[in-house]
Amino acid sequence: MGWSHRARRGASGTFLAALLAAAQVSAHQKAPDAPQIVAPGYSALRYAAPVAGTYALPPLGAAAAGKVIDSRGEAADLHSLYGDGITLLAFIYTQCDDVNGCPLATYVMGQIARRLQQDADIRARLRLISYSFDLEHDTPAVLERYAQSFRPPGARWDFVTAPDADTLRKTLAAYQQSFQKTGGHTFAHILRVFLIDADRQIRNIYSTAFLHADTVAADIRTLLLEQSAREAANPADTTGAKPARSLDDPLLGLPPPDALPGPVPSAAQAALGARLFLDRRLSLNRTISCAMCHVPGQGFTVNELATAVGIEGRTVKRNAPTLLNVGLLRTLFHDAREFRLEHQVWSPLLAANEMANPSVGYIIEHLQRWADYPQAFQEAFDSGITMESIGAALAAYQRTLMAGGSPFDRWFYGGDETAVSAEVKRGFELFRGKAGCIGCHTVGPDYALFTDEGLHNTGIGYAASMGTTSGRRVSELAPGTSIEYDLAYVAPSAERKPNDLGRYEVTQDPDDRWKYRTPTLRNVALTRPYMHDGSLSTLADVVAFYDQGGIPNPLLDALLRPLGLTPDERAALVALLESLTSPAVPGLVEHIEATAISNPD
Amino acid sequence: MTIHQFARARTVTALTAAAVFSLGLVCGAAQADETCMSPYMAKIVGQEDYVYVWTLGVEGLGDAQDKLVTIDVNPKSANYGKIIDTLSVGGRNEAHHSGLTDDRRHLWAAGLDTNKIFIFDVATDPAKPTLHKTITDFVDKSGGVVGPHTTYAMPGRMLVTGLSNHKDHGGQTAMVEYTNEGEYIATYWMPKDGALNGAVKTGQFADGYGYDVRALPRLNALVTSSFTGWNNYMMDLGKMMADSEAMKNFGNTAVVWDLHTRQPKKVFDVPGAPLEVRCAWGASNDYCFTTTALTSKIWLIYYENGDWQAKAVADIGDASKIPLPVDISISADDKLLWVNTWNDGMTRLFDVSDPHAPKEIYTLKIGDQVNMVSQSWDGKRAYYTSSLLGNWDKKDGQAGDVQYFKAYTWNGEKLTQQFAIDFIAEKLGRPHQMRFGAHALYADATEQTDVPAPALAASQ
Repeated sequence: MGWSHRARRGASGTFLAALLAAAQVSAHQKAPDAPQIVAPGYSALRYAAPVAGTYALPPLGAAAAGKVIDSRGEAADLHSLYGDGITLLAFIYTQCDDVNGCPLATYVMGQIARRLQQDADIRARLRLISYSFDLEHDTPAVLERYAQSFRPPGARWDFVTAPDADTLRKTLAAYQQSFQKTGGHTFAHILRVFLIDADRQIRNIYSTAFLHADTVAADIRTLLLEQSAREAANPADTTGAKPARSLDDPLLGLPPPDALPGPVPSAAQAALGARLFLDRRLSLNRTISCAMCHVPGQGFTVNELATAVGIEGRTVKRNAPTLLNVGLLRTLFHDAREFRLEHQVWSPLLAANEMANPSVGYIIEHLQRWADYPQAFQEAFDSGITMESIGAALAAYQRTLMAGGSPFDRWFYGGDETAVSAEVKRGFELFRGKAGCIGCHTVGPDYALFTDEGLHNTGIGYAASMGTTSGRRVSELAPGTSIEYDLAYVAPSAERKPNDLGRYEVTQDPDDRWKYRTPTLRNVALTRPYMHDGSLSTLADVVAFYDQGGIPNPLLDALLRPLGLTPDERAALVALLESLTSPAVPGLVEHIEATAISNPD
Repeated sequence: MTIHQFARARTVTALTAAAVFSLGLVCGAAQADETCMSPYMAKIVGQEDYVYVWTLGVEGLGDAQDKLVTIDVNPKSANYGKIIDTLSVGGRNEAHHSGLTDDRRHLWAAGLDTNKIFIFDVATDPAKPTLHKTITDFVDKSGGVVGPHTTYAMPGRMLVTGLSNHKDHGGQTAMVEYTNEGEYIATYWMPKDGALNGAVKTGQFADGYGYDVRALPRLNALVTSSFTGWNNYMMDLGKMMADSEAMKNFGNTAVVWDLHTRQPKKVFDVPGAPLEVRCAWGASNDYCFTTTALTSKIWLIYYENGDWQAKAVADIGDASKIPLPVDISISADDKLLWVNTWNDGMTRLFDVSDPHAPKEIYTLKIGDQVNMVSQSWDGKRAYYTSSLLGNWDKKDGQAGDVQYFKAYTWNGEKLTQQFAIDFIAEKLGRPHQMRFGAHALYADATEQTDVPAPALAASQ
């Protein structure tokens, strides 16, 4: 059943009054020809009105100027009518007979006028404007009669129209008030009522569903409160970047600067590198920055993925390694195929499944065009923007990510017996004794990298390449809700899993199959998940894996064997691993997160 | 019964109009699905002329980039069932959802990967949309929101939900508000542990994830759902299902907001990635539905005894067969809910006349995969497309690798296919969201035209 007939009425004001009466009645009882549903603006608000001043009304754009003629026949401009007050503006036409259209606007504005009149402060600041777009019918005289029917005494409520069709068209376009003449004096239009502040900014737009005197009144009071707060306000707060940690601060347990494999970066180089590190424009579709796979807040790796995801979601087959202490390393990548950070950076920049830049020159050309980079490069490197300086800048930033001074370091290298628990000390005895971890995760007398940077086969790679799958899998679909399902249900959507042969892919030597570089254990509690493929979720899982002796295969590293650890011993090893977290990490995260990001444009 | 009003024409004879439409709102009601995304939006209640299909480019197919495809769906047209226009936008942006502005002049189509929002002019010539503007600084303007998803019409502005963020490409995100002209207004972060922003956490979770949004103006409410971040929605589905870390990062919440102040009020546990939100139309039907993609359930978010509640009300298929419920569509009378399950290609019709006890009453396999469904206001026509996400769709050469647009009629008992377009054969890509267009919406504002006067919308 529709609302399918309307009789033509005579005097529009009378008609409107009648409709409003019907609308108000219908809240209680339905008259036979009354509209069955009227807008919420006609009845009590069904929910608690917002409390003025407890919320924000962000500006929606400038309220345009436009010449008008008022109901006295005098020329004016919308801006002069707005003055320095708060304005409620509605576009209407007097013959509009849709109770939920213009009459609603007029009804609510009348309520506002009556209600807010009582507040002297608001009375002085509030203007109401009803703007007719019916040039033909709504002459100043007609508007004046209409105004007299609705305007409460003393209200600042102007009824205006445009001086000509061209002005009307421009003004309506400026307010995006589309309408459509449907014959005679009827128009189809979307009801829009605008709330405009003293700076002539639109602060809210109400439609039929949203227009209600209670909410409009709250919004008006909110703007008034905002204005008085602004007048009383002290100067704006500042949120400047936090100072970076000193770049040459020696950290306990790490090698001295002269033992590091690369140059000590200058502050300018590192600052430039930090910006490049965060710049999402350094990928073909401007989506991926270095920081997307080396997330500062997630231990400079990704805690939420086993293996990385590159541009357009492309598969990267290995776990993103942490960048913490990467400046200590002499071999890079899980398969140790690079040796210097300055060179290493180009692999992810150019890899088709990572950042997918089409060429070296492409990156150089773009950096030369983007604001601020040419000057920053010139200041940091004499050579300006080159393949070498780009690598050096990114390496410089990464070399600042030094994070030692852990509780273990304070105990073992600093001699503070209280820095760690007895369990940690016991864990270290196991680490260099019964469990034999130290065979690969080396610890020296003066400092420790916790890696031999060697390549080892633990069997994880072997099992992934050569193992059989059951055809079924258990996945956790929601916390606490796991389900076992047949892999056939997802197989059509699954790409073939890329094979990973480890070091063999670099050397082609069959003895190097499934060998991977030993990672540092520093900050390992921050860098889950573990192993080259992220297949182990927790440190306890890792300790249990080595306790079993890895996964048997013909190339299993000779150092791996079943360890026969007790639960207490495994727990002590986990406690040791957890004592390797540097207090420097939060500062490194804060520093990079405070670095201004670039704007993909 | 839904009372649906109202246009301004005076003659009932105008019901013969090609497109019967209405401007304004359905009082005291919320929105249905594609036929009326927003309670504020102009609505086509008669025969739609066009369906605009936001389509993902596929590497190696045709021009390999995203495009807006316009299909003529008016049976009286000489071009009925044909593609009449395609508009390529450059790049693969992970085209996903799209939404019309309140005045229905512009279609906002977002890219989940590149964070671009393409704003098409569909009013100047509804048969041939043009690219009006592209927003390229969504991430920076919003303060780090990634993955613009739902583009939802509000009065004079658009509310855009995000799926991710630029800090970690995980699932914590925000809603972002723009003017209709594409100027940034504000960002509203989803409530999460440690930053509830005044919301009440009612269960175990407050994850800060986002997906869809719908408004219920008469209850001053916005309802949002939660999916997952860039890392997951961009990666290969098989890789993700095998990655136990990745599987821990799906949304488990729905949030009810104060519509007027945009402040979050209540966070509900809705475990397993609740996606589309659809609210009932009826003046006293104070509820919305959502469905969980992973746990395969229909959830009801309802207002009762002065407060909002949420509960699971039905299973959708067998969760252990990974059906993956995706798009849903509520009928204008609130009695029926179409639910598509993507993985098995089924559309399932639920009787939701008792919203607390939905019952599946009809199913049809639409294709080897099915994602979106859009029905006409009168419920007599339903359109389907196949694509879910670029890297989740069934793979090239695999069983089920189909990409289509299909048009059906619904007679109250069964769906009957009218025509289908193979988007691979046409070298177009992966069809995703559909929005309707009609010439009668855009008669010139100041001139009398030969468009028949749009008439009053008949209700169901």
